[in-house]
Amino acid sequence: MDLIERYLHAVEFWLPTGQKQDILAELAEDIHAQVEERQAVLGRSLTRDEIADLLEGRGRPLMVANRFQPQRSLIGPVLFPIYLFVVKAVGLFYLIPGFLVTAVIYRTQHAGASWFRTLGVAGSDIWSAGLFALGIITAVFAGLQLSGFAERELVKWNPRKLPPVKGRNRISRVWSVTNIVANLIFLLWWIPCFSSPEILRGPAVSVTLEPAWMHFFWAFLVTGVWNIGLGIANLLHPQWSRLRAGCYLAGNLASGLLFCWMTRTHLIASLSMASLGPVKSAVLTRALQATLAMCFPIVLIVTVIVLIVDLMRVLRAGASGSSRPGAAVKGPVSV
Amino acid sequence: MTDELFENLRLELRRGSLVVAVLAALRDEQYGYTLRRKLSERGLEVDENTLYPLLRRLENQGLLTSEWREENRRNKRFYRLAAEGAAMLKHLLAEWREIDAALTDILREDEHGPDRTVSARG
Repeated sequence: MDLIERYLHAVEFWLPTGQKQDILAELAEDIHAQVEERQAVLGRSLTRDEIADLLEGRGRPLMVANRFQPQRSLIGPVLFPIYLFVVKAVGLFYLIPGFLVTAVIYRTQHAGASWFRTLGVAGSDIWSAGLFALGIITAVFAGLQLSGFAERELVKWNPRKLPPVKGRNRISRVWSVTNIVANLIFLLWWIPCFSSPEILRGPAVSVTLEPAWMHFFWAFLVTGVWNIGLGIANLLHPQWSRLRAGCYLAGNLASGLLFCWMTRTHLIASLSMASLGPVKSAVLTRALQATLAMCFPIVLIVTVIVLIVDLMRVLRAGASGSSRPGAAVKGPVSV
Repeated sequence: MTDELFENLRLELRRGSLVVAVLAALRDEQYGYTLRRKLSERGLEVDENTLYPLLRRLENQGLLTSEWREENRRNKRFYRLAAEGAAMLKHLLAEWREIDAALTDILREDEHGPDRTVSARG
């Protein structure tokens, strides 16, 4: 019988305080009744192994005790889908880009380092950042759960306040206007400041670029105008088509390639500052070129991300547009 | 259909019915072990790890009363349906019968369905 006592003792540890003795007494009575019934059938006392089998069948002490605990959860079923969404979003938009950028920065600062070491350093940095982010998110959601926010704010809702349904391929007017304005501002800055290789000419500072600069100037000018044209087209016909999305992809591909090319090209022909001598000016020129070159991997990663988003848009625009489930339902279906 | 899926759905189906069965069985006073045997004899096998927490929950909800008493030289906790539990059982049984009637109706409709389709085509 010492096995039964040991079993009960193990269960007791996990039972809710205040009910331990009561639950244990009932559990002990149930086990003894089961043993007696089994002994009556067999006509003899149970062996130690038979008692062990009987207790094993009842389940692990922790599990048995756990059934007497009230249902508890750190984050309840109402908040959990939102919590999961936030965790995934942080992973996708913060941790993965963070990992790539950290790896690229480390690689450019330590050109001789192996890829294994680069990935190790980036992984270690992002592991700490990920754990910290996960901890903060979990703590915030657990706080919301404890405060009763989920029951108070999320369970009650008003169907009238639901956001309007937007077509999957509809282009937001705000996005189109922002695009046009941003590109206009860019051109207003670009044309007067960079239309000549002598981008700065003054008594204090003078910067002259290589003649190749003019290719970049015109190319960026064309992409700016191209984007404004697409923005106007989006405003007039706010619906993504495969052609429109393809045009965006082409524009962003051109801009990305230009940026990448620019970071790899030595564009500064001469730089002179009145306060610096020619030697220091040459050093500053080389430092600026090196900084620009270091930006290449980051520009490349950003370009790839933008192109992936554009490509997904092209594919989405090509798919059947109005296959929204339930769109064709005319009348209410009620239970 | 996997055995695991069937087992999960079966447990889900029985979970709600178990409360009704326990309340109904406790119209006569019982202690845990005899209650479990009684349910088992009627074809409703209940795990002790399910039954005892359920009895406590129902008692906390005021549907059952219990008392410790000595029987055959051992202390046992006897449960009985409380007045509130009897009223609740009445409501639950009415609900149970409605579900049963609705399900029977749906199944009957389903049985006649193919005939109707055939006659409509014919």
